[in-house]
Amino acid sequence: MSKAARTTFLLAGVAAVGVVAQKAAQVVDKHAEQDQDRWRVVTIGRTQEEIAPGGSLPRPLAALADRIEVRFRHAPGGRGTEVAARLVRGSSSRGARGAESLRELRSALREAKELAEVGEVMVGHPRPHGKRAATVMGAIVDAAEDRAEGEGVL
Amino acid sequence: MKALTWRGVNKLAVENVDEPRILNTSDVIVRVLLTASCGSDLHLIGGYVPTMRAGDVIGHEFIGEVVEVGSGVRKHRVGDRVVVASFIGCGACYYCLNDMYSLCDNTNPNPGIPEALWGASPGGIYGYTHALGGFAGSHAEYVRVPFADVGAFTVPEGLSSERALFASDAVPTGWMGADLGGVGPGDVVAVWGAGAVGQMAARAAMLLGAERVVVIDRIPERLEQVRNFIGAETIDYEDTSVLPELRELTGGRGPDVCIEAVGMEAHSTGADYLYDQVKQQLRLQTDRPTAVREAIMAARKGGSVFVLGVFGAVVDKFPLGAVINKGLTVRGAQQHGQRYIPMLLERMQRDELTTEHLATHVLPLSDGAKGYDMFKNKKDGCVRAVFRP
Repeated sequence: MSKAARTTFLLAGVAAVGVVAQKAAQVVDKHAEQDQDRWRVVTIGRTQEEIAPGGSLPRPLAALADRIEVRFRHAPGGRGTEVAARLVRGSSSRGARGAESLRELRSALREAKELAEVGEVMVGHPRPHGKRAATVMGAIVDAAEDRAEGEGVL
Repeated sequence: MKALTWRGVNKLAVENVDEPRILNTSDVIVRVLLTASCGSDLHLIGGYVPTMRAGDVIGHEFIGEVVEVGSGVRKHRVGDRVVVASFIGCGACYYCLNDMYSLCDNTNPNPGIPEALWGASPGGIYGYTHALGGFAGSHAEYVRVPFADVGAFTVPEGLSSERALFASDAVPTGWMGADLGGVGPGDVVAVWGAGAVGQMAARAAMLLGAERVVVIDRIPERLEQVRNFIGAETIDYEDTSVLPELRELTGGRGPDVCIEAVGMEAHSTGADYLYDQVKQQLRLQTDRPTAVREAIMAARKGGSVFVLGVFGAVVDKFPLGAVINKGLTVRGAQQHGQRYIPMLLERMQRDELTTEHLATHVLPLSDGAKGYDMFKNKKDGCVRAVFRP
């Protein structure tokens, strides 16, 4: 193969990889956008009337009332009520602010479930621990834990 | 107070830490009387399970005395001697109400981490990574016990702490493997691993009516314990080929129920062990599933395999074809201790279940690092190092 042919072949390969990567990114982005708008749902082992007496939103979802839509549905098999919520379309549902709003929403749904089922939200801190060395891995674990209540598949 | 903490990969130390406090109304504070090392701790200590943080207090199998009670606690009062299930269950969610306490929806305050790893979050557990709640563990003078009415059980008078200690984790874990593995009268059961959990799985299988129980390991002292204290048969896999031996023992069928009680750091004598070691050390797989593979290959057609050993994420060369074509039922779980502990304490009182022999080394907490070294490296016949804070 001549040098020119090799160069052409290489450029064609790079271009092909680029196209595939771009297409993949579009697919990922498309799904990310869909996910951003998706209803987030928890199943709470209580009736709708117990969770939202008189139609009022339960704590702490009530504090987000102007930014979210909420719907209730009977859960099959006597499992209680499916409580679904999503961010209202608008500026706060996109970008970094959107991600933060989603974390807030996930936390609120989880806490609403805990409050309805056990009566209080479990408190994790303070807890006994030894010396926390300042390491990269330690910082990653700390950051992951700080955000963990608002992350996940919910 | 003094506590045994994880300081980094294969580093433990006893440190002075703050005492725990009541944080929720359902909490009690327990003064720890005895707290046991567990094989699953070794995965954390060795760095195989991420999300440990330097300074974390480890330990999840313990017995103690209630010294402080939250305002919402109804079943316990100061002075009660309690054994505590290692997994924390709220008692009110769908999973707890259906006896699957380790799957509790409400006791892991860090659900985002396990959801990313496994697609859902199990409940929290004492001293077992920030992925599973970041709760301070029991290798300490005091420990906070959330949802105490659900997870702490008063130990009956006359039952020694040395025996009841293992009702916290090893005994219910083993029992669950035999129970949910479907052991019934007339079954032949094979158990991989002769540690405390494997021994208790074997004993449970016998009590559930199994006609023949065989335990597989390579550590002579542990196999001797199986024969002497459990009453099961043994196979030393360094002396014989396990699969042909099991086929011979079972009339060519294979065991009806296979229980794996080894976990992610399995050993074997075959080439697959070397393969798994290389891949695990290169972080190309997180777990070495040698015993699981063997259990699947050994099980009879239509039999069941229960995975009790702790696994973190992904494995390689999983014999899915054998699962499908032999029609196997494969299950696994972290222990649903609350489901079994009252019954197990009664059986302990009747001497149907004895566990004292497991605590081969009882040490002060200040010897925590030494105890884990003995336990990990099977020094001096160590089966379990138990600490007395």
